[in-house]
Amino acid sequence: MSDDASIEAMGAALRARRVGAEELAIAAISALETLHGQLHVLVEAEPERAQAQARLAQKAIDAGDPRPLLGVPMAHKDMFYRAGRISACGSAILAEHRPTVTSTALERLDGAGAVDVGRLHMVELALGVTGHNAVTGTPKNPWDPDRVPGGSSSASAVSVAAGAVGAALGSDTGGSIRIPASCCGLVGLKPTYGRVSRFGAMPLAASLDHVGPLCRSVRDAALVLQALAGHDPNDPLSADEPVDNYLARIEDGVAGMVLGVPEASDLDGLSEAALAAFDQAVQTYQRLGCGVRRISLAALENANELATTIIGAEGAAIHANAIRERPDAFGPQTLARLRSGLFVPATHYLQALALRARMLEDLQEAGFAEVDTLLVPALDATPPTIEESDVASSPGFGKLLGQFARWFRPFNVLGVPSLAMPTGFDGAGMPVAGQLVGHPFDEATLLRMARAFERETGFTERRPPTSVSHAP
Amino acid sequence: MSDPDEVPAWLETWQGMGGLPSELEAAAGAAHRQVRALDRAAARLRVDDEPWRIRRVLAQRARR
Repeated sequence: MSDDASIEAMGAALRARRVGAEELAIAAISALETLHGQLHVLVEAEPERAQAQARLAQKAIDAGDPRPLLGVPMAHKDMFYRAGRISACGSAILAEHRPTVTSTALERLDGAGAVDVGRLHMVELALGVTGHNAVTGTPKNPWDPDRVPGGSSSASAVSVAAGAVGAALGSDTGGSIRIPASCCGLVGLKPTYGRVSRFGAMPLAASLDHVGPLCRSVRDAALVLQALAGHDPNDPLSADEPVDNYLARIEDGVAGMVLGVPEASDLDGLSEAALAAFDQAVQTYQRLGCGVRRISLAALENANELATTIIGAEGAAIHANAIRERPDAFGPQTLARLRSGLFVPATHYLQALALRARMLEDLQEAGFAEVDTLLVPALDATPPTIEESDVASSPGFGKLLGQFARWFRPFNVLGVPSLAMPTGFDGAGMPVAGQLVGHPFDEATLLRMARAFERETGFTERRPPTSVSHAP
Repeated sequence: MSDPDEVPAWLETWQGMGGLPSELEAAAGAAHRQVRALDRAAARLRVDDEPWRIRRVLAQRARR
C-alpha cells in the first residue's frame, strides 16, 4: 500500500486487515504528539475515548460493515463541543469552557464510525485568517515552518497535511477552512450555508458560520461531507434540502461543462506564481473538455466590508461581557476586532445582512447562473512568514487581513459552496491554490469538477517536507 | 477617515457624555470606515429587502 494517510487509503487498509482500528488510533496520537513538537498542533490527545471508539469500529469492520469512515482517525479544531469535555476555542476566556452538548458534526462523524483522537489548536475564537494566536501559540506550516499555516482552522490543516490524521473539521466564517487548506496544499470544503449543522460548534458570526472538512483529496472531502450533510432541527439555520450522493458522479469528468472565470481586471494583485497557476488551471479544464466563460465580479465589490461588518457585530454581541470584564485575556488583534464590532450601528448591520441576497442575485445576472462552477484564485501570493505577518493590532492590520481573505469572504457572504484545492506550486515548492465556487446545494458538481482537476494534475498527492505519516 | 485613530463625527455624542475611553477610539474609527464603505450599496436596498432573504434565495436557486 502507498504511504498515504488519506481516508480512502486508511479505510482500505482497515478492511483488508493490514492494520487494526485501535492500532491506527494509537499511531495517529503518536504522530500528532511528534508533530506537536515540530509544528505546535495539539491541545489534547484523548487516547482512552479514541481507543474505545476504535474498538467499536473494529467490531463493525469485522462484521463486514462497509462504511468508509469506519476506524479512520481524525482530530478537530478545538471548537466542536463534546459534552463534558473542555472546548477552549483557542482562547483564555474559554479555557474552562465545558459544554453540556455534543456538536452535531461530531455526532455524525461518531455515527459514521470515525475515531476522534483529540483537539487541535486554532486561531483565538476563530477570528483570524493567518493562523497567528497570541494566546495559545501559532502552528507552523508543514511545507515551510517559517510560514503561516493560515487560519482560523490552522492546526486542522497542518495535522492533515502532515499525515497525522485522515481529516479534520474546520469552521469557515470568512475563509477559515479554505485559507489554511490553501496554505497547506489541502482540499478544504465550505458547503452551502445551512448544508452542515453548526449546532454545538462555537459561534463566531451565526449569519456567516459554516462547518466543513479539510482533507487530503477531493474524494475524501466527498466522504466526510456525506457523513455531515443534512438537516438538523437543533440548528435553526439548518437547511431542509435533500442530500445528494456525492460520490455517485464524482468520476464523470467535466467534458461539456462550463467553467466561469473572472475578467482579467478582477485578477489584478495576484503574484506571478498565483496568476500562472490560475491560468494553467483554466487551461487544464479546457483540455479536459470544459467550456470557459468570463464573468465580471463587480457584484462582489463590497463583500469584504460587508463580511467584516457582520462578523464584527455578531462576534462582539457574543463576547461583549468578556470584552468589558476581561479585556486583558484576549490577544490584541482579537480584542481590537471585537471592540470595533461594538460600534457597528444596528441599521448598518441589518443593511449588510440585506445586501447578501442582492449580491448573489447580481452575480447570477452577471453570468454565474450560466456556468456550472466559477474558478477564482485563493491567496494572492505565497503564504507570508509568521514573523512578517505578525501584525497584532498595529494600525492598518484590518486592511492586511482583508487582503489575505479577499478571495474567500465573498462566498461566506453569498452562502454558496466553495472548495479550495492546490492548483500548482511556486518556485520555492510552496503550494498555490484556487477555489471552485458552486451553486447553492450543488456540492456534487463542485466535487466532480474538483476531482477531474485532481485526477489530471495529481497535485493533491504531493506531500510536505514535514510529514509524520503513519499509514499502514 | 484616513487616520485609523480618528474619531468619527457621530461619536461626538459620546464625547459629550464624558468621553470615549481612548482604547476604544481606534475601534470606533475602524467600524465607522467599514459601514461607510457600504453606504452606496445600501442605497439600492428596497423596502422588501429583509435581512434574512439570503436563505430564501439560496433555496430558490438550489441546483442538484
